[in-house]
Amino acid sequence: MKAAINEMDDGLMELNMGPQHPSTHGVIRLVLKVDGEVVKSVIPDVGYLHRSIEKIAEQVGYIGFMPYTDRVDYLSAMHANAGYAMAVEKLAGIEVPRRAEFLRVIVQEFNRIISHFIAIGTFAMDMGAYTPFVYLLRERETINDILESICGARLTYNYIWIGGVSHDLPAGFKEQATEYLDHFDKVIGEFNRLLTKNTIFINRLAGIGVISEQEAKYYGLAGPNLRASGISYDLRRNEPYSIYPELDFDIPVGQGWSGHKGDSFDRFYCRILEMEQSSRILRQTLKMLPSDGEIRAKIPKVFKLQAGESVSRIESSRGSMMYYILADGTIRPVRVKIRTGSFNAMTVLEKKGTGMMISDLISFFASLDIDAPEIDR
Amino acid sequence: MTSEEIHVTLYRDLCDALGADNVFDRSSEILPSVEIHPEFIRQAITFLKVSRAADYLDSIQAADLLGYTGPVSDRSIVPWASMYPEPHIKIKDEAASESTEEKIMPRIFLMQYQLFSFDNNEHYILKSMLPFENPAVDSIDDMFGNANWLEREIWDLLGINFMNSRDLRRLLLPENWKGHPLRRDYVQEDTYAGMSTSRPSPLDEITEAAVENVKKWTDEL
Repeated sequence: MKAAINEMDDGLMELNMGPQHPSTHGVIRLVLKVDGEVVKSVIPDVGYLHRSIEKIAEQVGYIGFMPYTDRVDYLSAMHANAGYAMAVEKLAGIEVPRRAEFLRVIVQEFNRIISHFIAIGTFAMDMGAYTPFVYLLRERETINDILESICGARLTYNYIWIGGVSHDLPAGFKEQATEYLDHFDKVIGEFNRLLTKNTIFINRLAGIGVISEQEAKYYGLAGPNLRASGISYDLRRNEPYSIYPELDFDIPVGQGWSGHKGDSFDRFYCRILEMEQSSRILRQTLKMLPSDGEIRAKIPKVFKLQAGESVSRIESSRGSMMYYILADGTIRPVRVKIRTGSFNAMTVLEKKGTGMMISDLISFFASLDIDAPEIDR
Repeated sequence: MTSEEIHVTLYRDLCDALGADNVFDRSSEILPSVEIHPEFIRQAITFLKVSRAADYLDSIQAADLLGYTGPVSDRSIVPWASMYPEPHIKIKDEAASESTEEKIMPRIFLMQYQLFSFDNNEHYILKSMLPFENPAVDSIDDMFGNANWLEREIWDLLGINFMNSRDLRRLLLPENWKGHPLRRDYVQEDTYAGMSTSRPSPLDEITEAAVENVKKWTDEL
């Protein structure tokens, strides 16, 4: 794939977008063929962040792999941690203490909020609005502080361990978290006034990259991208895990708020509604949190898994994340496979991006909330 | 329906559609999973898509089972055992009087197709074992939009061929990369494009003087 020189001589210009392009977040390269401003073909080129995490898993053992799962999706590392821990616990038959389950849900929902902050913040930035991004980064810092007070890290937490979590909550956490959530609910209103109801912003998004229900299934979309197309499917509700069955929350589904169901605006607004639901979940879990109890089940020092297979699916910020473990009774897995939302979301780009204007392609690409480490792993 | 019930009906329906000789019950593993003759995998997926509304391809995954001795590695029990090489018998210790024979199973690849049906809210897992020599299955990239990338990833990392694929290239690794890293016996080359693929350990750079210094410092403590 050579850019700039068009060997076919079909009157089109080849344009190399990325890997260091500001709107292909992370390192993703798109090779475009353009006729003026109109995109005639999109060929995504990925793999710049490939670290072969699945191969590393075969070498470091079950316990040692946990910090690597952070790097599968560094914007929502708690989900990546939790998915792997659940897959191992399923096969080993470890029962997680109830208090640990609550702590897991608390950190996961906080992580979902900050992951969506980045998603919609960079979305606004790609559309030329820099201010909302800075606003959201400021909010994100506060949640980072909260997560740091729990586990000591701000991005790659390594907090959820096999059998439970690594640390208990610090003193005064409940008050700190509740105080922030009160503030957060105001921030969402403020943010909606700033961006969501902004006519210029809506016009940039409305009717761009409309994905129908059938297409969303056909391309294997997951998470907010799937729900924005009108399919009410959320693993927290449809295949409940952890303590989600006890919690009361809604699943936001795309309604065609800007007139086209499943367009970029629906995907954008679904994320905002999801953050509000996360806030609801957090308030409930903080109220229901058992006052004391174990935070980690006892696991043997030399951790071996019996021969067999295990699959766990969790609802990450970017949709269904699946871990598949094939174990042979030793301390190392034979195979670990990670199914991620971004990988499948990339496949829709080639088909849907064709025929768009370049500026619309950026709007469409940003609305999918693609995270480079999740594609390459 | 529970996963056991799904499995029972799925196995029965697949037997009817493909013939009992091409389907094998694997109910002792993840449910509901059925092993399919590699040449019939495309037909089985078509069947699921039509009759069970399995219109969502969750994942395709493969694994190299070199040295793995789980239930799937025994090839003699499936009806289509003739397509795999015979296991060879290795004598461990000739001096010992007891039976020291060890059956070495042929090296195979495990392919897994995970499909999901929104209408029925059911997961279906289809398995297929490929022989190590020239592993290949039919591509399904015209049936699902994300299948092409999933297949390209498997070709890239494990070297399994997908026949009649519309575009089978490496996905994650550079086009001129040698080998398939997720194979169990893969050894990384020392250099790639003139660059070293490893770097010296910082421990090698520790000089004796530095060790002396640390010793002096810890003694003082």
